[in-house]
Amino acid sequence: MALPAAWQPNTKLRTPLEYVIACVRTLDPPPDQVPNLTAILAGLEQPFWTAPAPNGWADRAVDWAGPEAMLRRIDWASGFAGHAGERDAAELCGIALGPLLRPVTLGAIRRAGSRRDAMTLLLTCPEFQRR
Amino acid sequence: MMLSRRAALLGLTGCVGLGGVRLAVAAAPTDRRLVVIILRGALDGMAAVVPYGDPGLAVLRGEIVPPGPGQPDGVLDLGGFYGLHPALSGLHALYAANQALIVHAVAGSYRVRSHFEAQDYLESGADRRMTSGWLNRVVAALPPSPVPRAEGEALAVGVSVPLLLRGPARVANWAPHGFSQPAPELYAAIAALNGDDPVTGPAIIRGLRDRGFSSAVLAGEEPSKDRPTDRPTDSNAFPALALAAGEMLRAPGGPRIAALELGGWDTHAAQLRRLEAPLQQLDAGLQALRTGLGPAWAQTAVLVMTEFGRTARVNGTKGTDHGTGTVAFVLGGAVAGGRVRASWPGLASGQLFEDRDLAPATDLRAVARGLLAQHLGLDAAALEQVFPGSAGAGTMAGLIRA
Repeated sequence: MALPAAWQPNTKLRTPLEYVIACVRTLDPPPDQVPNLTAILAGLEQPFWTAPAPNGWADRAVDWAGPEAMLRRIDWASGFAGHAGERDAAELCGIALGPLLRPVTLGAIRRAGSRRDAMTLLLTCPEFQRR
Repeated sequence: MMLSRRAALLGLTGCVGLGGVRLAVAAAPTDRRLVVIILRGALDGMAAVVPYGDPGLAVLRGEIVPPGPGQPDGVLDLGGFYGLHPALSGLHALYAANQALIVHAVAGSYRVRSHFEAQDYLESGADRRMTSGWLNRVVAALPPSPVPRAEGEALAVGVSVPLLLRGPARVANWAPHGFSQPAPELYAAIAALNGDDPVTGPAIIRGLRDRGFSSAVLAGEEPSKDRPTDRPTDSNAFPALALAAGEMLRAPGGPRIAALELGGWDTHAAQLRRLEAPLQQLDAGLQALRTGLGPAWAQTAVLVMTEFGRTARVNGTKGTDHGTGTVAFVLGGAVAGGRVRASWPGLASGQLFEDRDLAPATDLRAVARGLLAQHLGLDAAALEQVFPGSAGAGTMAGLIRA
């Protein structure tokens, strides 16, 4: 805890659990559209309440950032972004990311071909993948 | 984080699935079936239905025009002036069977160049965003169903109901299992955004390569014919959703109105290559829809529409930008097809809208009004409810077989 890096935002890669919760909080869908987190977390290789003994879930980015694991995040997020409705990702990204939002991300979100694509870009940009 | 008991019981499979495509289905009290397909991202009408007979075409965009009819990979002729993109061979067969009608130089009543706004207006059926979509108001305008419908008045197949089908008429949800996959250009945009990140950047590039996307495909330099989402076994791909929609619409007592959507049309760069995959998806989806409908295809009309067209001139990256006039397709066993309906505005200087776009010669609402009147029997008052303030837009005649 004495390490300054421990207090720096945007350092640690979000685990699937942290990532899915961040996505749901960002879109804040109505209760009947909140997804089945158990099935999603199983699909993202972090099944709920089944942390491996004795070490628990991995704490290093490299253990969560496998090529297929990253693509599964993206695939799930692009489906979940279908709940965007009329929400504007260009407005939400400032709330979700604050000063961490990069201009290049905002530009890509503004140029997206649909609200859903824009939301997908917000949920998959590198600054959103971290905490 | 709270899961409602009802949501937990239902399992909410819909929230896991779905990619660049979504599907919504609504129950309607008529034997006639109506399917509306939204192409999100703005289809270039002059790439899908090439007006090769206009000498202005080569001047404006020669480098992104496919070869003429009869040549290798050439357009599929539609009678001497227009030709279909070669990826639309199934649609061409429907056209030859007089079951596909093409309306060219068509546009909505709005003149905006933002995807988000234009899609809102396209689905609202007005030049403003409304709280309900025009297809939901179609369901509301139909007489009450004489038979009980197990799925209720409306059913959406997909993670969410598009604005087109949102409104007072109740809409339920269904979607296939499994994670979906976004279109290649969205993968490419995500990979680019993550390019500078030392952890996520290389992982995403490696993952895409493992799945068969070469960097050339992601850059739009090569066609992506073998990309995984083209597999017909992908339960979230557009053809699979279209097949499921057709089967649901075919069932007695099932829904009679459906909406699907397909993305991947925003071709600002490398358009010639990048259009192949979404056009193949659309073509395969239309065939699958017909297969799923079976004998009910004879009572079916399908409207394919996009929010706006693209610029007439090719841009500096061999693509096109947001424009105005484009195409709409009306097809199905009930449709009086085999024709291109257009008051062709021309491509010469002075004939382009704002000196950049194919000029809008036909109001998309006139096409939809004609379809609703002739196919579903909606009267003038109902059409006014569906498309507020559209009486002056006209009602296109002769869309449905007598």
